[in-house]
Amino acid sequence: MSAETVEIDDGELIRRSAHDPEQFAALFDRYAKQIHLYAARRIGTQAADDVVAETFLAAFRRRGTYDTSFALARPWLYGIATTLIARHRRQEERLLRALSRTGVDPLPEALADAVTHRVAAQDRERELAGALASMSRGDRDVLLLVAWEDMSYDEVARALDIPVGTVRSRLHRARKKARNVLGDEEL
Amino acid sequence: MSAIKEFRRSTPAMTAEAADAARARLMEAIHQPEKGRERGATAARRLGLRAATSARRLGLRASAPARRLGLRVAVAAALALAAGASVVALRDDRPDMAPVAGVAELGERAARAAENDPTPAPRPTQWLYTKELQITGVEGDADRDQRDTWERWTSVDGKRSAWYQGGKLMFQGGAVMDPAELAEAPVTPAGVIGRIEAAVLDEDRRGPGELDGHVPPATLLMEVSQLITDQWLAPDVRAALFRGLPTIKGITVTRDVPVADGRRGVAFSLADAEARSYLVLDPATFRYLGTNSTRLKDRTYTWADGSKETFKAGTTGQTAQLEARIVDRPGQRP
Repeated sequence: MSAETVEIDDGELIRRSAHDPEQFAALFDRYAKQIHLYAARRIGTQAADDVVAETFLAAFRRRGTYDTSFALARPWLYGIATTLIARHRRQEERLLRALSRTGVDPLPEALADAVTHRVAAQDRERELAGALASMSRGDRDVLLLVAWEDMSYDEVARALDIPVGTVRSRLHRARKKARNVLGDEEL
Repeated sequence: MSAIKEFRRSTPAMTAEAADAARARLMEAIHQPEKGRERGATAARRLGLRAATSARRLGLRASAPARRLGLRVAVAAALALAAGASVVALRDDRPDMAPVAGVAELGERAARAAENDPTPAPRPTQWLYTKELQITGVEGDADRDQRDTWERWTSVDGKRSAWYQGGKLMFQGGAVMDPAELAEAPVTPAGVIGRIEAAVLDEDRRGPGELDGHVPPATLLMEVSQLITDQWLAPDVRAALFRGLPTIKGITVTRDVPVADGRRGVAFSLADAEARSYLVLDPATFRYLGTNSTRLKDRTYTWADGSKETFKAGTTGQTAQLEARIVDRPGQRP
């Protein structure tokens, strides 16, 4: 990667990648790790490995549709990743329910050859897991993009391809559900 | 938001090996126009059967080892007989081969062979190493055959698989079908087939939504072939799969079917409008030999990125299992 590519913004990089596809690899270096963490927190590290790989393959193939006037590709990439995570919805909810029920989080996953200590979750965490499991996927998507990824409403709207008003209403619903179990001071 | 922000904050970061594998897949896609596609993938793609699990789940075009299941399923399932049905002549003159009367008997014999397998059960941390020869071509045009040797490692627990690409060991998450789930008691032929159907339908509901609650026999045969080809399975599970195969609608027995390395065997066979497929067993020991299939009809797929690809009738593929051994580590050869 030349020094230049680390300075130019994502939009310009994607524009250049139309004729110079290698430029696209810089996006992977910028975002793969954070997208992996986001996916792994939802569906586990192994499924996240696949989601990250597929996200960048899909993004590369769709790069011609990217509006390069947007300097940051982050919402676009998170949107693709979130769509891929949706295919693991049952798994995600199963894991959350397990945590809610038993107090033991099946995530993070143990490495095959490592001894993992799993600390029983606090009550609050169990209740939060239960609340997350019971939300609709769309509400959960919005809540986690805002809470974990610090995205603005505009960015979430762009990521999920929904109107900003929908972002607000989903977030409102999701927070209400979380507030029911956590109490007002947490939100 | 603090409680939510903290939730699972300690999740481990992406491993270097996972990052390398994902980046390698991207670089492969980036370089495709220049260097052409990886041969194994080409082979799978030329057969034009969409992978039942991984590739379908991903909805992406086949790209080589990345699509572990895609590749293996497509080759195993799309498979057809290189020279067409006429070559599958019945040849009952081999003295070492007691003729199999019907597909139920084939299932029973294969099941008993699996049950009597003296190989000790591996430890959960071990891996199954498999080496496969793959040939793809076009009926009646042997010069166009492509040959490929494909080595892979699948963890005994089914959760991970690995392969070498450009000298580096790459890893990928596991198959859709969890072997532990198949091994849950009671293990019965109808039960294991039912569990596979349920997994396929579940996958379909989350992904492409093409199946309308019904798993086509060809897809079921693909899934079973895939498990038998490169997943370690407890003997009772393997036996139940073999006893379950004859219960899949349309499956018959065909004798003297060749696999990629020239061996011939007795096969579970299935023909539908799209393809003719064989899962071939040794006629004496009833161990797994390989697969053989032919695409019967042109088929155009529209992939997730909107591009289209057409697979031609007459494309054929054969595989042969050259080795299948338990090893301690991925990347280790017996």
